[in-house]
Order: sequence, then C-alpha cells, then structure tokens
Amino acid sequence: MRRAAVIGSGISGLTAALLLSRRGFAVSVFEKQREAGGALHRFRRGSIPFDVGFHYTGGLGHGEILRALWRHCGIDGKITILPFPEQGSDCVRVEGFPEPIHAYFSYERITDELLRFFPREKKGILQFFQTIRDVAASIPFYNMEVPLAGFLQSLAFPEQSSLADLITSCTANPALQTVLSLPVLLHGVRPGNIGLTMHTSVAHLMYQGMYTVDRGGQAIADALLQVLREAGVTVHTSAPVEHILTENGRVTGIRTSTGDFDADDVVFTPHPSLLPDMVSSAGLRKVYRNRLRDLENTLSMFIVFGAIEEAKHNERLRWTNYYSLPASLKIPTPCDRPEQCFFLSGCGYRDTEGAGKNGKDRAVIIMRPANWEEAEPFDRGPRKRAGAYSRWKKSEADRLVSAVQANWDGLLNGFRVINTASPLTFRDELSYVRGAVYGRQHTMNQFGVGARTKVSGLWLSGQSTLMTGVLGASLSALVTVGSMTGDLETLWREVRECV
Amino acid sequence: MTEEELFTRIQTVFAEEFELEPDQLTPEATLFEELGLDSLDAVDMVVALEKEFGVKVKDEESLRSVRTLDDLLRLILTIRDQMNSRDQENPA
Repeated sequence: MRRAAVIGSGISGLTAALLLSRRGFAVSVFEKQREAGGALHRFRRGSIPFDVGFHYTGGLGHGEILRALWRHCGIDGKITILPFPEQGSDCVRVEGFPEPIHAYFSYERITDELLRFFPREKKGILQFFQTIRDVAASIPFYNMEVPLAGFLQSLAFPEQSSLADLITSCTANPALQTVLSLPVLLHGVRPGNIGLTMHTSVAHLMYQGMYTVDRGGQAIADALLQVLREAGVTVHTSAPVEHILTENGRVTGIRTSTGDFDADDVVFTPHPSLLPDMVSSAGLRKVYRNRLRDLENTLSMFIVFGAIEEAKHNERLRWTNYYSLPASLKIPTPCDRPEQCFFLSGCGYRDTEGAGKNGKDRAVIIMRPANWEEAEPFDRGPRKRAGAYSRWKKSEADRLVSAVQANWDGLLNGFRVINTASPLTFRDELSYVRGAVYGRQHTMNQFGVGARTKVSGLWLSGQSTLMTGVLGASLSALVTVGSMTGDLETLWREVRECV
Repeated sequence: MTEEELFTRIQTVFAEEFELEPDQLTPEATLFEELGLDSLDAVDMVVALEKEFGVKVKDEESLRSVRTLDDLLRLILTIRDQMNSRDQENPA
C-alpha cells in the first residue's frame, strides 16, 4: 500500500487525504495546531462561535462544481447548505457615490441593479457580464465539456489580459468600476494584476449564487474528519512537521517532534515559501527554492469579532454583507484609513448554533485589508508581545467600529467587540506567510506553482497552487491527487458524475 | 551588450541558479538531454532569464524550438530586438 503523509489539515489537506484514501493510499494527516481544520476552524469566545476563514462561497448549487466534489467526498449529506436568498447581497457604499449599491449574487439581478443606477453605462455593463460568462465557459470547472489538462497547462504561463483591461474598456465611471471589481476581495489581487481567467474562476461563482453552511467552516471540517475517520485515516494534531525526509531525490517520510514517519508521498499544503526550509537542499534546485521564497503574497486582514445581543437584533444583517470601498480600481489595497475600506458580515445571523449566555447573541465580524508591516513591529514572539500590541489592536478595533457606524447608521446598535485578529494572528494560527489570507498572488506577473516538484513523491497543494479560497483549495486537492495517481481524467470524470 | 557577453551571463545564470558545472555549459549543450533539465525546470528557467535580462517570454510556444543554450541565446536576442523596436515606435 502506498503511504501518503499530508501536511496541513485545512480544506485542501483534508480533501486530498480523502481522495487519496479512496484511491487506496494509507493516509496520515499532520496538523501543527491543536485542532484540525485550518481556516475552516471555528473558535469560541464567551460561548460565541466565530468563523475565521469561511464566510460564504459559490459553487454549491445543484450541478455546481463544489457540490459535486463534496458529494464525491461523501460529505454532502452531512452538512446543511444555506443559499443566500434572492434579496441577499454585498451592499456596497462607494466613496463619492450617494447611494449604496446592492451587488446581488445573480447575473440578472446585479445587472438590473447596475442598470438602474447607471442607465447610461448600459452597453458597458452588458458587455462586462457577457465577457465574464464567456470566459467562464472556457473554464472546465464551470463548463465540464472543456478538457481539464489543457486548461491546467495554460495556467502555468501568465495571462495577457487583466480584469482592469476589461473594466476600463466597459466603463470610465469610478463607482461602477468599484462594483465590477468587487470579487477581487475573494482572491486578493488588484484588478490591474489579475488575469481575466483567474478572476473569472472566482467571480463567476459569485454571480451564480452564494452559499454558506450551517455552523460555518467547522461543519465542513467536522464532516470531512468524520468521513476520514471512517476511511481509517489518522489525523495527528499538535504535530508540527519539522522536516521532509528524502533519499536520492525521493521522499522517504517526514520528521515530527515525536518521531519519524515513513511515507512514499508527501503532500505539502501550507504556503509554498515554507517548503524550501523543510527539504534538504539536494532535492530542489536553487532557482526553484528562490522562486518559492520570493512569491509575492496577497493582502492580510485586520478583523474585529463581535456580537449583537438579542434585544438589538437587526434583520438587515442576516443576508446582506456591508462594504465601504474607495472609488475606481483601488481595491483590495491595504489602507490605513479604515473608513475608506471595510466589509462586514453578520455571519452569526445565518446559523442555528446558539451563541452567548442565552444562546441568542449573533456573531458579527468586521474586516479591513491590512499590511504585514503594520503588525510586524509587535512581532516579538507570542509571549513577549507587550501591552503595546494590545493597545494597537484595541485602537484599530475602535477605529473600524467607528468607521462602520459613520457609514452605516444604526447597523451596529448593541454591538460589542469580543476579539480581534491581526496579520500576526494569521501567521501564528494558520501559518499564513506575512499573514497573507489568500496565499501567494495569482497575478499576471507571476508564474504558477504546480503540484509536482523535482523531488519524486513530494507534491504541493493548497490555495497558493491552483486557485484561492474554499473552492480553489478544494480543487487544488483534486488536481494534486490526480497528478499523484496519474489518473486525473478518471478522477475528474468521477467528480463530474456526482453533479 | 554583445552576443558574447550575453552568452556569458546565460552561463552564469545556469551555473548559479541551476547549480550546473560551468564546463558543461557550451553553446551546443542540449538543455534536456545533456544538462538534465525537464519540463518542471522550464518555468524556473524562464523566471530566471526574465529576472536576469528583463525580457518577457509570453507563451510556451516560443520555448518549444529551444533545444540548446545557443537556441536560448537566439530567443533572448529576438525578444530583446522586438522590445527595442517597440520602444522606438512608442517612446515613453
């Protein structure tokens, strides 16, 4: 039996482990943290559950790709998928534009809304969405007639045409440009730097309909872990991998603090720039190690986790997320004026899990893009971070809450701050390099990172390889496992049959 | 930069970044058979050359005809000439 060790228990690690065990591998998963799940993990403060990385996703409608993959993995029946209703939206206030605009999760509804506000831009709006639909039709995950192998090959080379090229060819209206670029917040690359295909791989889903899962990312992690247990896969937690063992250019196992573990294959799911230090220099060429180390990263986030008590519940928060954004093509640039750029999600309103002492509080989170450099001065080891770090986090949280209150009257009545996360938190809890929430940038200026490496039996997976986010990381597992077994086409056919 | 200087820099890139022996790096040396590169190295090679020479290799197509180090030199010269003539047409 071929033995595989999977490093990292986020959605790509767990999905890869499951697909491998289904294909006859003896699989073990190694997670550095005390609990499995990576960014799917839900943490609790004052008996209120908070999601770190899973807020909403596309691809979960009937016949859609993530639903099919989850059905193939056997977790479809173990979770409750909650579609955003028709009126659900990302409600965007654009700097300098008088009214908030609803970016609905539907091609038709968002088109209607934009035509209502920008009737003179009709031609450009229609052209924009038609182009996105056309590009989506060339992506095998959305048009299953398209051959997968050719598409994956084309990803290795940078794209020639950007999202900004498309938007500026459709409209010069700054507020409209912002709304059209909104999905960049789900991959973290600026419109001028993201290739149109890579952008569409995220944006198309958003225009097809968004979903959340009852009990958040934890429900997905728990379902995957249950199926893995049934399949005999061991998930080791508090088990940081120190080294990947190789001999004559091939993997022989891994070394953890508690001992060595033999393996024929190792799947590495954290940020690829962490790989070079874990493999002896004989295996990987200097040029490759340097390329991984120099990968340009996505933005980080500063997050305020809070709650609203029962008496002050606000139904406006249930199926609408609220944004304040700068005009034209500036997002997702980190900025130190939180009033210019933030987003808010009342994720606790969508959940059946009780929260707070009476079980009726609702979790609300507010996020803003952040730079690693903002938090870096406080990086003196988790135990040595002095009061200055707490004071900085408190003042940033206050500024963010005030910014929301100033922009969205009454939205946060009864809100109390419970916890915060900074770029350092992402680095420490999720091993995100420089706190980058979407891993390396999938930009037009940067070559792709494939599943295969020069060390035989050493494979990469995760959102820095194929695509970002819940969907991107899940699909990266599919592609990595397909490369490992040499039967990607068969695996892909089996997933398609689950549609 | 003369062709000769350019080739010396290609040799340096291959010696340093790919950790190959300098005396292997003759113009006739074939990348895949003699220098032992494979398809996985192709992207790294392009990245290293782009960094060193500031040229953009836009697609896999142009790489297909490259068999030897000398072919690589020709490719870089062609791209450089294209870039120069474009700069002359559209002065900044």
